[in-house]
Amino acid sequence: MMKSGIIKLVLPAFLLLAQIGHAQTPAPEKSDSNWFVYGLAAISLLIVIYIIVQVSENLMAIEAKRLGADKSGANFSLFPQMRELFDTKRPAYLSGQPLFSLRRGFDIKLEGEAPSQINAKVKSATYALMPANFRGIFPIPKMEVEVGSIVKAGDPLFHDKSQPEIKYAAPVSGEIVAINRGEKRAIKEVVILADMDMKYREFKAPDPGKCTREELVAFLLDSGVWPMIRQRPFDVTPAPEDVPRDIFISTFDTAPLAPDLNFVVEGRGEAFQKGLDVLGKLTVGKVYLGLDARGDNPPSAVFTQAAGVEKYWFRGKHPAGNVGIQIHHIKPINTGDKVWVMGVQEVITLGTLFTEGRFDTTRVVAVTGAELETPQYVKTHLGANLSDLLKGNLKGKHVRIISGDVLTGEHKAESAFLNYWDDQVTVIEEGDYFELFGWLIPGSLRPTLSRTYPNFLVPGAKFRADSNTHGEKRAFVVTGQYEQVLPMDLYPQHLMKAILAGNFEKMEGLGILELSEEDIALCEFACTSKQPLQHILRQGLDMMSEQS
Amino acid sequence: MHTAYDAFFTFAFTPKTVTTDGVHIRDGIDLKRTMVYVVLALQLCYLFGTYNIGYQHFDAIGLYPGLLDGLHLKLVYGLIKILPIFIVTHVVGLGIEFYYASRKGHGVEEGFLVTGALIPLLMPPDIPMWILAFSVAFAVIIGKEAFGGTGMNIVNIALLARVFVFFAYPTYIAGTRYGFPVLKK
Repeated sequence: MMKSGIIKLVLPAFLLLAQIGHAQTPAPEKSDSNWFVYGLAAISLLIVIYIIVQVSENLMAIEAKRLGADKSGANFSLFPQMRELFDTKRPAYLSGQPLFSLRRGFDIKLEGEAPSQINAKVKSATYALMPANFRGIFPIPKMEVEVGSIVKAGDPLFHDKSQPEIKYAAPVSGEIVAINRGEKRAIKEVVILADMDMKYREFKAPDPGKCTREELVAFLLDSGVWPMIRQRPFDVTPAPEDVPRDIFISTFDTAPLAPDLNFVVEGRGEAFQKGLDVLGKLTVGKVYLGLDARGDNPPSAVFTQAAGVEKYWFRGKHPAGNVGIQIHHIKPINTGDKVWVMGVQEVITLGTLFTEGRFDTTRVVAVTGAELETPQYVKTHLGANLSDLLKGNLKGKHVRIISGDVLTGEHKAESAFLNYWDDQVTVIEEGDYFELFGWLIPGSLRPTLSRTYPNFLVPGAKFRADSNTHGEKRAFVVTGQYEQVLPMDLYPQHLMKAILAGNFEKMEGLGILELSEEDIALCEFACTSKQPLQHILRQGLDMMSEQS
Repeated sequence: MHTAYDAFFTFAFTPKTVTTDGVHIRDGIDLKRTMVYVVLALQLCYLFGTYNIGYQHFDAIGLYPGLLDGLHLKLVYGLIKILPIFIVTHVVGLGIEFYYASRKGHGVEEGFLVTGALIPLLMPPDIPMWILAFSVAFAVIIGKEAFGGTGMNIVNIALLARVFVFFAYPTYIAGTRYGFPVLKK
């Protein structure tokens, strides 16, 4: 700030001297040229003033960034910014709470959104827990049950040999009907045939207000709720001795066709609040809640009235609802930091453990996609069977069933099970067709960021996307698309190249620790070169976690 | 051979490849479309460039002084000049691209479409064809393929070709053969 002060003083002084010097020269005969000289002087004066204003304004912005004061979204400029003048007004329900308006991002609008109503008829008969869903766990975990065992919801099914204290618990009660193995005898899924009336393992939950953190952790480990916590960076299950700097929860999902979490938490507010209370005991820092400020109406009162947490509001297109983006804006992950993240329904499961003393993995799942007869919400449990959820609802045979959303989900066979974290099933068309001159004159409109498609003529249109790649894989080209859809202060393309080159210092410097696959997924969607960015990022994260 | 077949096939049809892991849907844009749209955007420059070559020619010999006089003749003359440049650029450049693509076993990348459209716009219209072929080959091999192909180059290939001509053959492009009419007087 000193520098700008000096510039502010010195430059006008120079100008003044120049003016005086000029005034002392004898006046030319013609008055025309006099006017010309005065005009020039006036223009140069204006330019100098403009430069001073610009320099000092930029210095101010740099200083604000250095101090981190600009994170609040406040304007440190002398002038109002364009978005302040023309942006839609802050919603009234914010009432002065911190808001982040993210301008970068993209909403992929797809057909097949589920209406806010639960179809109670759809039930899944079998459920499964898949060791492959958990990162860092050995592919052949130590089984604690065998085929034919009877389990209650909450009974441990298996544990990792390196961390035996973390139990992976049965989501429902019933009989173990199969332990399916994959390549090299890795355990793919442990299938449970569910009871009609759920039986729960009895828990005597400690009072989070009175017990110590150690007792609480021991209880969570034993009850099977621990693996629901994910630790950033690297998106792994935390070790029992890890203490998080902060815990972050995003209360809205902006992914294509994602379930409306306001609808999902209806009637489960008490359990959610209890879950937040417990999380507050687990961290040395704070529990942060990312709230949705996109709509005209406030989100569910369960979120807005949540107590004991720090609330930040976010507005913008996808990926504004991703917890990684929110962490980046609220309090970024630096080297050595460990933060925990949890989904809303996982927090509810955690809370139910304390309010009702049982391991209740009820999940409201959105069954969505253009290839369904009726997109709908269903109430089921964790790891439900996909063929049961989709029975009689598929339009065609040639479809792709995805556990999760179209950006980050996993391609599943129809007989497979919903992944551990997923609260959404998406069904889209397989796109294995040739398209004549598809690169020049495509046969149908498709979701795209590119202005070479006339999509801007049909705002609000929804698309039937399929799994065609619409082009071949190419080398990275500097198009600026990644930066356009990633609301973070980092250079995704440079990062990807650093990962491919295996350069650790560069990877860390370019912010790999802040990223998770879901954050980069939209970049992968937009990529002209059809590069597998999520795959590359995971390679990089694995390299980094092996090093640390 | 397969590379060449593949290049022509994917020119006609978008392939039926589907996404595997990662995202399940992809943006409609691909490198072909990106590059072709740049070339389409350059067509206005081509139109004016073609006209300008003809205009300068007829201006030098003192015919059709008005801007629009003999418009068709000016355009035809411009085309006679620019088409050979366009063709030689593409034959040489794409030939090298195909060769390297088959050698390295990847698809023919579309980056040369834009380079090939820019070079005729940058070159002097009366450049000898052998110099043109030389400069294009130099630019593509040293400027791009030596660094690993499309997306890896550190200099602009079209500009490198122009720079090569400028430094290697200054006498051919700087007017010893024609000179300025004003200076002749």
